[in-house]
Amino acid sequence: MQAGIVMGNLASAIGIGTEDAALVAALKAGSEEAFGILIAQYSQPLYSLIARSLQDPADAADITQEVFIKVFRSVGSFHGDASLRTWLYRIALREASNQRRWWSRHKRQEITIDAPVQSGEGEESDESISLSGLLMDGAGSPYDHAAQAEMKLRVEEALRQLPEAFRTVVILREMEGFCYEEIAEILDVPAGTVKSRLTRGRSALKQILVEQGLSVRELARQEPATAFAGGAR
Amino acid sequence: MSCLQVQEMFSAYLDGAINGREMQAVSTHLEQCEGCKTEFEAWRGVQQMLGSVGQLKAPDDLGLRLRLAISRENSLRQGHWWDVITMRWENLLRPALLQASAGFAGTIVLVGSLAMLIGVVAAPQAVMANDEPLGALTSPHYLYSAAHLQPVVTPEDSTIVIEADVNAAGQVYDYHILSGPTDPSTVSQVRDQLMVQVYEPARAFGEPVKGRVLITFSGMSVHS
Repeated sequence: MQAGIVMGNLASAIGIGTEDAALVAALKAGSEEAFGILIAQYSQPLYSLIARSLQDPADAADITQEVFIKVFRSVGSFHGDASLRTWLYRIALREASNQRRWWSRHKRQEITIDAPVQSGEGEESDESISLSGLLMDGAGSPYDHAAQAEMKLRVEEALRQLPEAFRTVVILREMEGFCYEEIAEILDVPAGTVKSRLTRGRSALKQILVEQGLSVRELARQEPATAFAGGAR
Repeated sequence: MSCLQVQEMFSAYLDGAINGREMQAVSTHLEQCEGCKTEFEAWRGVQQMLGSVGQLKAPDDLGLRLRLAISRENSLRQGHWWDVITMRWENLLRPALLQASAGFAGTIVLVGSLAMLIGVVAAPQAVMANDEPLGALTSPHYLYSAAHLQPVVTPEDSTIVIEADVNAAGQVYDYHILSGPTDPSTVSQVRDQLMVQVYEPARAFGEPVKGRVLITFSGMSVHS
């Protein structure tokens, strides 16, 4: 299984790399059509990453727009040292980080009815989760939908309680499917750091889920087909 | 390999990020240690949960919004005023052009129809110059005297102002001297004058009615 994952990552990296070259050339030429392709391909995952990185997910659309504008302005300086995908994610995480700092300084005291349900304590206790951002779509019976929504909420809340450094690594690995080397590129840290943060992040996440009421045996029984029917996208 | 050592490798083991020898050691340990096996399955359960949650859904209009932002940015970069105007035309005015055209055409039709209705149906009739204006009230006015006018001789030099009532036939049937001499001789002469005078009677809605007229006698002969 692990060998399969590695080969899959390798194959996708090669594939993306080949397509990247033509796309990057068109982007550098200022082709709006090329940016249309870029937007179609990356707006959704970048939005999701940004929304999970911000205290207030309602700002995610604005920050996503900022990211694409920065990409437009700086694509000329992209030399292909990293893949286009990792470069985009690096810009997105940097923008999200800037926004978090701005939010901590300016908006922490603001409370709206749409956002934030405060969660957790400790280092990331000021971070929060928006119910509206989580219960967005789904299919299946009302029971499936409710169970899926509840589990999503539980996982998202647990993620929010993770310290930022761990959370980012866990999201990039488990939800975005990056390999260690790509995560190291995106975060500009050694691959060993990624590995250790991932170990600690996964462990902390499991602990948080246990504190939420799930036993280790219940976690061990989690299967995609039963826990999140239709939940995978 | 101890349980602690094995558990520290769970994360890398999940990702296949350990060498073959370590992988074999972990695998063997998991087969033999029920506690570590359960713990590892919990780790894998968490991984399954994370993978199943998927991405947060972006707003439906995010793609359009981003393309507009890029288009605007592209125009600003090119920096030519004509491109900026063209871009704004494309992004702002053109989508509303159909509605604006429909609104303009609708206004033309509405105003045109109203103008036509006013012009055709409710057109005012041409004014007849000699028509008696309906609803207008006219006062009596002097026509002629049936007898030759004689000067009124008064004892003092002053103007006589008379308010005379004229009936529908145009004859004076009552009068009051508002100012001037009121001696019997003067009154008698004035009365004689009024009796022979003929007036165009006052009219209301074209019909002759009673009216009132002010008559002034001036430049009279003064009896010394």
